[in-house]
Amino acid sequence: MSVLTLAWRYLAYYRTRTLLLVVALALTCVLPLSAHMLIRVFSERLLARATATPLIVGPRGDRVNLVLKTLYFRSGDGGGVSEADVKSLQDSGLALAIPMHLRYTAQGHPLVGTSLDYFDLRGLHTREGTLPRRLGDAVLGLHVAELLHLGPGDSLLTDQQSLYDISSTYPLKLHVTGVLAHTGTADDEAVFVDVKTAWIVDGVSHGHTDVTAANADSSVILERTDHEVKTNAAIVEYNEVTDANIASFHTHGEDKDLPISAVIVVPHDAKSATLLKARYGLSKTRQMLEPVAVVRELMDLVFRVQRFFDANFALVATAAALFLGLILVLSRQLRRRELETMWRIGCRPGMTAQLQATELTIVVVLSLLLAGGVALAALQLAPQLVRLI
Amino acid sequence: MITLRDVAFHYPGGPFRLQVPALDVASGEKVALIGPSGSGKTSLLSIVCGLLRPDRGSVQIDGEELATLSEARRRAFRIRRIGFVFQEFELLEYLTVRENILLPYRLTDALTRTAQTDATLAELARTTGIHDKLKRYPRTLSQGEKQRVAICRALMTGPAVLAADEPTGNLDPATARDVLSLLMRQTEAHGATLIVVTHNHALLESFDRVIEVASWSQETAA
Repeated sequence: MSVLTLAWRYLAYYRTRTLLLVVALALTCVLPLSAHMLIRVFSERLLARATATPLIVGPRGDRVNLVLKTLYFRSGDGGGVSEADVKSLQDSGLALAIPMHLRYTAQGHPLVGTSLDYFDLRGLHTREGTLPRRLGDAVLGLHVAELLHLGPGDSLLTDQQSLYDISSTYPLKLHVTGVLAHTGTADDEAVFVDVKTAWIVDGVSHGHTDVTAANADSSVILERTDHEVKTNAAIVEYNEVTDANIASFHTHGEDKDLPISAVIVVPHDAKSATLLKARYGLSKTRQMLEPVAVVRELMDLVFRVQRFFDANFALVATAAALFLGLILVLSRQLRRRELETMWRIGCRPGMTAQLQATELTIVVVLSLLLAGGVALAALQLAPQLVRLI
Repeated sequence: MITLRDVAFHYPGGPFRLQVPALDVASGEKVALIGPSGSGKTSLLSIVCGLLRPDRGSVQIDGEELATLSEARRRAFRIRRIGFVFQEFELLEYLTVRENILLPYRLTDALTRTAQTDATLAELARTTGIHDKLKRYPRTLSQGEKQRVAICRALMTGPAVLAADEPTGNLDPATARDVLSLLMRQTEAHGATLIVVTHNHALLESFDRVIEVASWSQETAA
């Protein structure tokens, strides 16, 4: 029986105290280990998504908020920029402009009003069904579809923004035309519609009964001229786009009145990017951001916080090492007679110290294995955690 | 044959002094060391067994001089030629009875385990009545059974000297008699010399010789 076996037999016999020691040590290691791994995954994913998004245009203000909102579909205040910005960028001939309308939610999930270019940019394709083809169509991120048990042919309602405001727009019934394939990104968590559908939800576009027809309900008409018809609030607005009413949906106002949360800009080349950045650098109401740069700034902050935790961990590790030392000394006292018996019988010099060192090594190795296992489990859950962030 | 000549010993910094002018113990002899607490019984036993090195004098077992042997050679001598039985049995709780008996073979490379080792173990276990307890752990044994296991462990290597320090100190009188009787029988069977430190005067008649250690020890002024 080698020293290793003797040490193992000792630890196995006193399994409860061994387990306690292993768990205590593992817990000391697991937090910083998990934090490191999670931050690494978080950083990689954040940077990957930021890198795949060349430029973002939005209102001047919080840079980090604009980037995170656009990348991860944070719902919030609508506007900021408008369809006019999208048109202006498209007309510049320097870039592809993808509108991002991020104000609303559908059954608790972000409602993203965008164009088909977004799906090309992210390389998104449907697992079943098709991408939105007309007003009122929606394609679901995989996780949303799984959570709501929805698929092509089903429908879902957008969320009412204010329950007590009877003048606000009613929820719009969306027709699910498809479900996106798994991406492991925020795209799994969103409901995608055409930006024009988002404007219906916003109330800037709408469809209603034809009041220009000669047989229109006269009780809703306030005034009729050659150029316009004024109606009262009793006019029925459609809250679902159907084959019968789709032609009635229209928008009042100009492009500058059509709100957009942000615009993803894909410059045709580096020179175009430089020109656009210069152009927006002069704007007092708009800003053009490089998501990678903003995310790197954010990660620098995270890493600074991490370094603080690392320093904390060093102190905790030192305390743990001191406790281990104390346990070793107390254990040696507790086992004094056992070790003395070994010496009397004739064990080789240093064997008792070697025995205890081996026991300690086994405990530390088991703790590290346990900590590694827990950290790996955390790593497996990292995508979900990152998604929550 | 154990021979001590002009042996002197003291613990560093302590007032205790042990001086043994001459002591001869014949092979196979069964000797009891008696005396009041602190008289040096355990110290003398430790010197005889090579656990303590005397300040001066000669300690020989079967012609081998222990007093001048290096630590390594004394250790090797001890593991092959001396068997120990302790008052508290000193069995390792986390090893089975069988593993405890074989412990000397685990602790050193000086002993090699062979088929004969297992045969010896089986025979010892049978003659000491613990053959059916070899797979059990010490905590499941009675005090008397634990001491039987300790005796088996001491005899496993076929020692020339069996040294027992208060082997019956923790046992009730009946068990003490049984254990001492077993110790005597086993020592005779193995042709070993038995040296026992004891306080139990009721058992002294079983020994060939009783040595009063107090006459060899003294306490000096610091």
